[in-house]
Amino acid sequence: MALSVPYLGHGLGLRTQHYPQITDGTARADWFEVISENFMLPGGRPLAVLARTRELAPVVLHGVSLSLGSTDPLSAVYFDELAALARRFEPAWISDHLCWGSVGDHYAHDLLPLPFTEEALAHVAARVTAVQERLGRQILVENVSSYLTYAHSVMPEWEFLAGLADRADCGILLDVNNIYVSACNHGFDAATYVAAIPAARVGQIHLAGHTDKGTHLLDSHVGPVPDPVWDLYRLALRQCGRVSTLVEWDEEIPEFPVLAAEAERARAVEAEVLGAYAESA
Amino acid sequence: MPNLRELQLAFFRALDSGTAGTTDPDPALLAVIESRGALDAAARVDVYAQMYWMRIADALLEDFPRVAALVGDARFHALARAYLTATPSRHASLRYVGSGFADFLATRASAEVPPFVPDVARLEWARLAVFYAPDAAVLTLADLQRVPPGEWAALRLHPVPALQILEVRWPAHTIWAAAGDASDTWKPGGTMLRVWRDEFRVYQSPMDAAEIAALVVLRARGTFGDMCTALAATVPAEDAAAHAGALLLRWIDDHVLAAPAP
Repeated sequence: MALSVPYLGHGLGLRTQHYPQITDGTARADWFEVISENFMLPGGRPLAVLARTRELAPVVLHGVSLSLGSTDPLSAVYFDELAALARRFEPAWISDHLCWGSVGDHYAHDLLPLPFTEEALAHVAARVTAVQERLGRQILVENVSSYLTYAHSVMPEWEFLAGLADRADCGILLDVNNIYVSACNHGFDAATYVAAIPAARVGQIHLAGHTDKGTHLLDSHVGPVPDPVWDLYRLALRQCGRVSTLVEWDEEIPEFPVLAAEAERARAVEAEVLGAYAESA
Repeated sequence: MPNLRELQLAFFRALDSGTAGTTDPDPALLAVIESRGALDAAARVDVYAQMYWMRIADALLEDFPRVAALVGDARFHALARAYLTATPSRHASLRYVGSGFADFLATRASAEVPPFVPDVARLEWARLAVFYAPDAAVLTLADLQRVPPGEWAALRLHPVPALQILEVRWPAHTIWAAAGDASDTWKPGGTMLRVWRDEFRVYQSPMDAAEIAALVVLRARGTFGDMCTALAATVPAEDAAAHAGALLLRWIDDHVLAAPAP
C-alpha cells in the first residue's frame, strides 16, 4: 500500500515554553509536532493548549514510549490513551521510534538500540503491523541515534529500516541528524544510509542539533541545526523530493521566533535543492 | 548469542547497576557489543546507563522542585538514584515516575532528609495530580439560585475531579511556600489541606474542622442536609446552615464544585 501521508510543509515541535504564544495565536508554523505521551492526560492545561494548537495548524503525534522493539507485550493502556488522543485531535499522522525502551514491565524512558538481526526485524515488523491494525492507520517509524552497535547484527541499519517499511507497510520518519550522529559514532557513511532509504516510504524528516562529547556525538537537540546536518538534509531532499520537515530543539529552548527561523531555513533549503533539482531534471 | 529478550533483560540490568552505582554489564552482554574508537563496549553501555538515571532524576526534579530545594541538588540526585533503583518506572509516561517518591522519602526521613520533606513531596505530588485532573464545568451561584427551597436538604453537590484532600503531619503548605527554607524551626502539626485548581493554576489551603467535615460528606456523595448535620458537630447547631452557606460560597468562588448534570 502506498504511504498516505500529506505534505504539510515545515513544522515545529510544540514545547511548554511556547504555550503563551500558542494561546495568544502568535506562534506560527505550517504544522506542529507534539510528544504524544505529554498529552496522554486526563485534563488540564496541556490538553487545552493542544486544542488551541489544533485550531492554528495541523498537528502530528510523535511518541517516545511505544517501545516497538520491546519483547514485552504491547501496552493496552498505552494504546487506549493514544487512540483517544488521536480521536480527539485528528493528527495528520502518528510516529514513534525504531528502538526498544521497556522490558520486564520496566521503562527506561530512552530510545535503546536494537540489534539488526532477522529475529529483531521479524519481531518489530509484527509489532508495527499490530500497532497499525489497532490504530487503523499507517504509522511512521523513526531511526534513532545510537551509541553502541551489536556484533551479531547481520545487516546495516538502513537495510533494517527499509526492510521494516516493506514488511510492515509502514512509513519512515527520517531523522537526518540521527543518521549523522550514528554515522560519526559508528564509522559508517551517512550518504550511503540516505541513498538506501526507499523514497516513497519517507513521510517526514527531522532536523536537529547535537553535542560533541569528545568520545561520541550526543543527540541533544540543542542549538541550531549544524551544517553537516543541513548537507545531509539536502541529500535526503534530492533522494526523496518534497517531504514534511520538522526542526527539533529540546534543550536551551530559544524564543519562538528563533525556532521559527530554523523552520524557515529548512524551507529555503528545500527551495534551493528542489528548485535546482527541477531545473536540472 | 543472546536472543532479543535475553539481550534486553541484560541491557536493563546494566542500566539498573549504573543507577545503583557502577555500570556492571553481564559478560554475555558485553560480548555482543562492539568496541570502537575511544569507547569500549562497557563505556558504550555506560553512556546509556548515565542517560537513564539522569533523565529520570531530571523528571523527578521537575515534579518535586520544593523537595529539591529543601535537600539540595546533590542529596536530591542521590535520593533519586536510590528511589529509581528501588522503584523502576512502570508506566510509559514519565509523568508517573514520581508516584512513589513521597513514600520512599518517608523511609529516609530524619536519617537522610528532614522529617517534614515527605509531606512536602506529598503536597507536590497532589498538586501535579490536580494540575492534570480531568476538566469539569463548575457550579455557579446562578445554579444554586435555581434550587427550590424545598429541595435544598436533598441537594447533592459534587466536587470537581481537580480537588484533593491531603492529610499531612507537618505544615507542608507553609514549608512549600517558604520555597527551600530547610529551617529546623518547623514544628510538626497535623493539617488537612485542600488542593484545587482554578483554571490552570493550582492552590492549597489548610482546612478548619468545619470545612473538613463538610467536604468529607460531599466526597461521600452525601446531601446538603447531611452536610449541615455534620457541621452541627463542629459549630453551634443554630449556625450550621449559615456556615454551610458560607462554605458553599467559598467553594463556588474557588471553582471546586461541579456543575449539575445537564
